[in-house]
Amino acid sequence: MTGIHWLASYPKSGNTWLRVLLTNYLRAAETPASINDLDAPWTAATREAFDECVGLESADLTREQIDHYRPAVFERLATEPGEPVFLKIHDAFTYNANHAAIVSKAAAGVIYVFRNPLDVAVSYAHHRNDSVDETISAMACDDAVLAGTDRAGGQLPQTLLSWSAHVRSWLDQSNLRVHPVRYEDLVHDTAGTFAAIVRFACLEFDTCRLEKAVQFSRFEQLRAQELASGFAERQPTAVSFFRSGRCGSWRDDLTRAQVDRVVADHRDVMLRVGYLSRTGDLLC
Amino acid sequence: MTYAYTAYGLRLASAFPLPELLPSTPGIADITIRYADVPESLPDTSSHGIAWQCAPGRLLLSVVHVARYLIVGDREIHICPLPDSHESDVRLFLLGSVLGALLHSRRMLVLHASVIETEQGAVLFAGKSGAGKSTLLAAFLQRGYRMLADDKAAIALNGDEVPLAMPGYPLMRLTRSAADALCYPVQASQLRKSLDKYVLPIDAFCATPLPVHAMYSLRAHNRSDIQVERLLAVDTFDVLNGATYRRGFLHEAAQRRAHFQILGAVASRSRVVRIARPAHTWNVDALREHIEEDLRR
Repeated sequence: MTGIHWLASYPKSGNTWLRVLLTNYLRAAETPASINDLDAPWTAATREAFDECVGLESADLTREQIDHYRPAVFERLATEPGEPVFLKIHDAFTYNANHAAIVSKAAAGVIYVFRNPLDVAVSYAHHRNDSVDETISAMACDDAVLAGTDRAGGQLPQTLLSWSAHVRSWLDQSNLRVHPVRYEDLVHDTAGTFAAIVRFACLEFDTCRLEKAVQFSRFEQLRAQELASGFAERQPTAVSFFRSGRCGSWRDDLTRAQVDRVVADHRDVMLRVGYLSRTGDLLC
Repeated sequence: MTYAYTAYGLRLASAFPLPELLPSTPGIADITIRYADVPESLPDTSSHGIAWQCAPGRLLLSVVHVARYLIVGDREIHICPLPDSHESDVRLFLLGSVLGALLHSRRMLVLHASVIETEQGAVLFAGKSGAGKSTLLAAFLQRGYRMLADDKAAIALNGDEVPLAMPGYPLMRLTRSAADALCYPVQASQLRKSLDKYVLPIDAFCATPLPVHAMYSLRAHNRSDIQVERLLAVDTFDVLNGATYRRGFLHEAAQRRAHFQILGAVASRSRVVRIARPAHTWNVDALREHIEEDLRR
């Protein structure tokens, strides 16, 4: 295999679970990988990596200056020899003021995970420790930024856009070869969907390793680990990170009005990626 | 006309005012700072990052929309401001990464840390961006301590090989949220809106070098308690080295030798403590009390 792959997704769309699967597959160990020691770190979003690569304090830079340098930071991360071979990102695929793509095309490809926005709304509300209605508004906001207001935190501001625009930005870009993954497919046919990811990333294919990785990455396994030893990537305000992982939990947790809002906000993309039928039926 | 200042034990002669620094009497300067043409790139680069390039005896730093800075040897800083830049921005990066690179070239140990004066000597707060170094410094200042440096610590050995923390300059930068949480006295005019930070001149400044007593390495964890872990000698070197300010700027062998020599001296003489605090809704006074208690032990 050559080059690194970005694991890209909107938040709460299965990125971490995919990292668990990949870590277990790559390590091929006899016991499940610790959720606190996963491959595909979120390095591209940390101020620390940016500051070291650029030589300037990101906390002293404006948003525009940060985005000026970020393509070069991504380029560097993508072309650094050796591990890791996957890097997680939540950025949408966007361009800076110089019309340079923020995410480098030096990478071998991108695995883009997306999930039914109705379930994202439920999960993201828990993660943000915010109301579902506020979360639905945030998901519809065209210029949404992750970590945009927290200059004192450890993360850089990352352009998210709306949920629809995030999906479109990745599926429609032509800089990088992209392998789209539906979270629901990963849940219902974990082995088959993950096998396609392994092939896309040109990893050595091994059925035994694959089966073991799937077994070690079951949701109950992750929940048990989080209960026993905590998860360093949990938002401190959220009760747990691995909460349900279920598909269709929106049917229990969203009101009719909330469902209608999400569908109205994201109709076109939901149609496009199969969460909504032509006749308006919700499919997942 | 030149303006004379001191910072980190060095005498600076600047062609323009640097109101952030402590004034000094005019005389022979260690460092001169002036406006000059600065090339966009250096020939014979030996190493580079995204905004900097190193060549033998030279380090170039380019800040988009602000200025290009060239450090020549260990005595000169040339600055070429870019069109429409603000003087305060030009000074911000001069006193940030450029001064940090210069201190490396002066063979000091430069750590990403804030420094206060205590009865036992200088105490450093190190940590990644966002770990809480400046917030903790502000909390100690509110308790009547004096500061030596904010964000960048420079350490040099005296004739007895004792590592001394050098006094930087009397200024602290504090995010608006940290200032609000601490009820820190600020004026609206001190807010840099584009950065959402206050730039605060500090009266309680210790202008003399102090032996390094301890370093607290801060990090955030997602638990609700504060964990204090005093490190064994075998681990102190790595933690100190991990706190290095812009490791990439150490581009010459003599700099790296000095770096490791001083690191070794600090590791063998000073207390190094790892301290983890809750990532959100953390109480900086509780953290300060844990550190004060550890210092009494």
